[in-house]
Amino acid sequence: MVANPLVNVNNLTVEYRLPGRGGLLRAVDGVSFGIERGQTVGLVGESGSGKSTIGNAILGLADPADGRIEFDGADITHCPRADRRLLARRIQVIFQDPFGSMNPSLTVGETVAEALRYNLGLPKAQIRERVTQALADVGLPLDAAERYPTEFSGGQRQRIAIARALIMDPDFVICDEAVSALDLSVQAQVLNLLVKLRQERGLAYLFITHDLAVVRYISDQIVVLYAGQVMERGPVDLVADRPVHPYTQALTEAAPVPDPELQAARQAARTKVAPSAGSTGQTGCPFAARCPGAIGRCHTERPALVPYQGVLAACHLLTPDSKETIP
Amino acid sequence: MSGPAVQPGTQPGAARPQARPGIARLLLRRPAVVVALAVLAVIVLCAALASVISPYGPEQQDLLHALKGPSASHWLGTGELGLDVFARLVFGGRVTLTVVLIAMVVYLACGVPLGILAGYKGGVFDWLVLKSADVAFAVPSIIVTLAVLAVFSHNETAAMVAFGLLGAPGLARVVRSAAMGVRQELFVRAAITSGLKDGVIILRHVLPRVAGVILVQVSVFAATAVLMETGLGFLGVGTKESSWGSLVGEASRNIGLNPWLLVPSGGIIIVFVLALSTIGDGIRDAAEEAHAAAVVRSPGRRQAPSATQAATAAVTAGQEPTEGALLSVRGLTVTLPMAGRATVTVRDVTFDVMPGEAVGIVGESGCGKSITASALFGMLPGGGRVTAGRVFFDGQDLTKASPAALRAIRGARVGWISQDPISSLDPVYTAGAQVAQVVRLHTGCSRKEAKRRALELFALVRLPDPARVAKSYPHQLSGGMAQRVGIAAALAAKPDIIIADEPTTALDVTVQAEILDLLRDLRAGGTAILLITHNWGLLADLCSRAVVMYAGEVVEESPITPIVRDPAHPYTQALLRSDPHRGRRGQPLPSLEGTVPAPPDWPVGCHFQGRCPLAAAACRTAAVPLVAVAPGRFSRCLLAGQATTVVQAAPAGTGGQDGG
Amino acid sequence: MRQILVRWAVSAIPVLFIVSLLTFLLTALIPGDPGRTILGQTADPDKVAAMNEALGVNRPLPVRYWDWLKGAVTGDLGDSITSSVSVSGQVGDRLAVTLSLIAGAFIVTGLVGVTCGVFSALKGGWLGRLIDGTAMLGMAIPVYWFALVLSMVFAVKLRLFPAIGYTPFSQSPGKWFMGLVLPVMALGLSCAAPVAKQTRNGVLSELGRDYVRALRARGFAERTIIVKHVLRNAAAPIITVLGIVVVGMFGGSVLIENVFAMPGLGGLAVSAAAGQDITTMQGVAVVFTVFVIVVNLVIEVLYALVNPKVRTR
Repeated sequence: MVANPLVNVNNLTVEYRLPGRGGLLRAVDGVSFGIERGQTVGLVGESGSGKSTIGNAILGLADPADGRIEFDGADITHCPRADRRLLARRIQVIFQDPFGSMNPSLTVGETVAEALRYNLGLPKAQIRERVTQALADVGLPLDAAERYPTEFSGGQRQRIAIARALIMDPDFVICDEAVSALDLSVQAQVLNLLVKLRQERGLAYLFITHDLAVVRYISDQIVVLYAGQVMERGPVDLVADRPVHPYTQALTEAAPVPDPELQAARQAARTKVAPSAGSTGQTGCPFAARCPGAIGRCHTERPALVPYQGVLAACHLLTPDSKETIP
Repeated sequence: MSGPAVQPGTQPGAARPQARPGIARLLLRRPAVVVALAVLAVIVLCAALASVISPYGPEQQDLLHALKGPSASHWLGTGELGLDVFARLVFGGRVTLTVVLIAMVVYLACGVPLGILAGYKGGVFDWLVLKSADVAFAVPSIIVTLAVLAVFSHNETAAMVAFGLLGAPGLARVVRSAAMGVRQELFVRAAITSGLKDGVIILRHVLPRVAGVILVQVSVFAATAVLMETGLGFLGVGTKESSWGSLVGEASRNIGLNPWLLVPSGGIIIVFVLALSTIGDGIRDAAEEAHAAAVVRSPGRRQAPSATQAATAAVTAGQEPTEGALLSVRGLTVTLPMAGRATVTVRDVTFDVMPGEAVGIVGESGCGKSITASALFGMLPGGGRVTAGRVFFDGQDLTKASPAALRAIRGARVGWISQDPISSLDPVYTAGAQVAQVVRLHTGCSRKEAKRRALELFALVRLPDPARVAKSYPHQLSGGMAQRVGIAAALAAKPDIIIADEPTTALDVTVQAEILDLLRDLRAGGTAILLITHNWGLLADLCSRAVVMYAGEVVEESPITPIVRDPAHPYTQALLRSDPHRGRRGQPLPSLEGTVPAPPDWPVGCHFQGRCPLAAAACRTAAVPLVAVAPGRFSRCLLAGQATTVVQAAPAGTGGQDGG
Repeated sequence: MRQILVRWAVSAIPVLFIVSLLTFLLTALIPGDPGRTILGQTADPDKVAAMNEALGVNRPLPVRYWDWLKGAVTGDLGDSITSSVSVSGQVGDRLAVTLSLIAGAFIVTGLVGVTCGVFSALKGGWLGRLIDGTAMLGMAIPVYWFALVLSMVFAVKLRLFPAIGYTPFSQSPGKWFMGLVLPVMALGLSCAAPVAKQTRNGVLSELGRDYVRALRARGFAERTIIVKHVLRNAAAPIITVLGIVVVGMFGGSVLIENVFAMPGLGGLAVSAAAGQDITTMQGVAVVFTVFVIVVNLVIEVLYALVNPKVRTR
């Protein structure tokens, strides 16, 4: 664990009320991780893994049922709206959908300036100056400010979203599937921009995505989620390149690589997992029903996250390096 | 607005972008709406200036000319006691329009705030709105107004206040769902995370977005209020003053003596209500158009518009099909209507699929992959046409085939798998019934046999528990299961080829691997596959040949291994290198600046010229042909020979792409 | 099914209760001396006192409401304050008239609206535009005015149907039918426009959905796709609109009955309003509400039948 991380998520649990008859869905179930200043943590998982919910909980868009979120040492778990105004100056977000994340009836300049005007209440001249600078920083043409979002392509809109996030000069940015909707060549442009800005400003990122290739490229640490629980967590070169948890392995092996011979070999060596059969019971490992190596204990007892060969993994099949368990 | 304005003209020569047309401007472009607004204005003005423009007072009797048709002295005739009809219309308009206005004020004042609060804040407001709407919809409003009039005799103001109150929950409910929709929008979430206050968000983001909905509702409500007020007047329970409604009542009493009275009395109401609903419809359409414009408009500035059409000249059409090929596409060119003009969106596409072969069409969005696939078997969206080239399927030219002949081929000899598995199934039938329908269509077997066969197909696509899936409705299936059902339907008639249009894009990566296994097995079983994808990994896994498309053209075609290791076309090279699979941490990804041009913006010559590091003058003068660069390999590049020496192709196997 | 019934009962009973309470509270809203307000400033003080007695203004409101509610549950809606006739009896006498009118109008609306909507969506062109234009005009024409025009043309001029009145079915089925033709047509046709509009929009939007494309790709004929799939899917919102239209018809019947001088509930409501007969008005309002609530139940059941998402929740 990091001594004094910028962001510290501890045993986070978020529940949603299901529509209709009710009942609770535990979208995030006891998740813990930390993000240091200037560090990028990748949050990987498939649909229903709760990865976006974690981002929303940090942003105050979802209310945690349990656990604690700390930012720069302060508890922000149930931070009131008034304090969020202050937090917004340090925590920002870039969403996935470049077409939905901007109000189509406001100009790009108005969108980017919004927080300066209504949160900081800066004078107009200063706002104009900062907007011009922010748009230039993300590589947009000078006249972009007075145009409307609809006039821009997906990649350019994502640059606008980045400008909007960075204009508050935050030290932590949540990228919620920020490049997933983009085509390959445009995705590379945006990833390069994010990396460049990280270097220039010492930003910390929480990079939420389902794309292991992207997360492997950009992250320092990776957290692998399944059904709201952390399966594996650790440095990128270990988790992405030498995964130990059966789910991480399945995830890595499932993504095809763009080389026929390599892919044929990977495909032959792939461990087949059972198709997802919806929700499993509350007890046991959530991946047990699909796991090729599941033993009896996997179905009854939830595995703790324990250190194993340099990473943390929650799996009964792995013998921990020490007795110490991590929440 | 205080939007920070960058000085225009900082970029010399840059075309000043057109401002996005607001709803108001879109509205005024509709002649019907303008006419309706003018009509409303004239009627309201006449009513307001009644005493000035009317030659008679509303109570001025002319007993000698009672119940007469139009004449020089009485333009619209006379009613009982010789009261002038025109005078009563303009003076009656005052009475009618005043109470309608009162009802509208009550309607808006109660409905809008409550609806916004309910939609944005939820909780008790939400409950209140839904429950009060239940109550308000349970009583016919005329009964309520009658009940109010039973207590407050002939007090129409009270009746119309009640009418407004009764309508308000309906407005609140509509505003609520609109506001709820806006609240879910990412831009509102972004505003919240930027620390904006709720009040600012409501005024800046929510209200403008629901304004259109409110205006539509208000125009509808105003129309019903007019009908209600005149109805009360007609029944004789409304105000004792002369209004539009009482005139209809008078017409009904004298229907035998002077049927003419029906015309002006009903006419004014009809014209007024018609104008209101025209405006309402106009607002709704304009709001839709403003929203649609956001999606359709092509990004960036336009280049020479005439260039694209000229570029279609040199197509390699008219060639014969390849011997033994299952599918032979030759110079296929497709136009689609864009902004009202037939625009070439796919140009000179040529490729073959041999029996049992898997071929992948790969490219970024907007390159024409899906349109190409749709064009092959007559599935182009509305207005789309194949304007040049030929499609040979098993030797038959499909561009000359009748719709019925194409239909006979679709489903029977060609299976189709879509991008969005769940919405591609009909929501009202069970999965089993839908697949059985396809079986019956193509085999003509009995219902029972079709059902049995559907279960077999479900087992074939490895659906766990086929019997249960057969009884499930699409909304009860996961994406992966629905896609298996879609594949089962595609296999129902044992087709020779399957066209899979981004079959796994909507699915999780572990589910994608399962679907990929299934497609691989089908190919092993002898079914040809045409895979449309943007994912080079899928292509490498499944296909033996790749057709790379860029901006409507095939830029490269090659067997799969050489193309990923040593791409010939600069676009293919750049695309493959920008894949993060090949990226090294800490080093920038070799990226390709710019975006794919939209069809109206295609330049003369090579479509890739604007982004190509090698582009030379020759690339900009004439359409570039697809030429063989090696046996079985084709590239659409004038610099095909030199390209690889200038742009270093990243050899496969380097970088961190191998998970190990 | 049972779930729908339970859900309906849970929402219907409070609605009925609230409506009855609100109509009852209207009497409490009468400013000053209720009897005097109703009968006018010049009325005989004895009559005012009698009116106040009939209204029960001297007793506390909850007690009055409770008494009325007790009666209403057993079908006794009290007596008219102006004529002392039993409200339930009057309502009972007139029920058949209004229900015949609405049932007939509903059939006309459904047939005309759905047929026109489907044609307008599929044919487009001049026929589509004609149907659209007529529908728009139909929504603007006041129902009573349309009834007057029909009556003038077909009853006064052509003398094909009676201009006014209503013959009970038991007396003469033929006359009953002939008397209903004009009112039913007037109400039914003027309510068909929204149904046609929804049908058209529904069919058009279904035609644009992915599953229609998938069905075409599987080789189904256009006709099969429209009849078996598109119309089936468009049915749910059409049913919702039909439900709204029926509720509107209860309102329209008030006006139509007036035009054709039919002795129905609408006529009762109008005379109660004109004569300030508050108890009768209350009774009519409650009876109408009961109808609407029953119609809502039927709509919900039909909706669930065509929409598996509701059925299998």
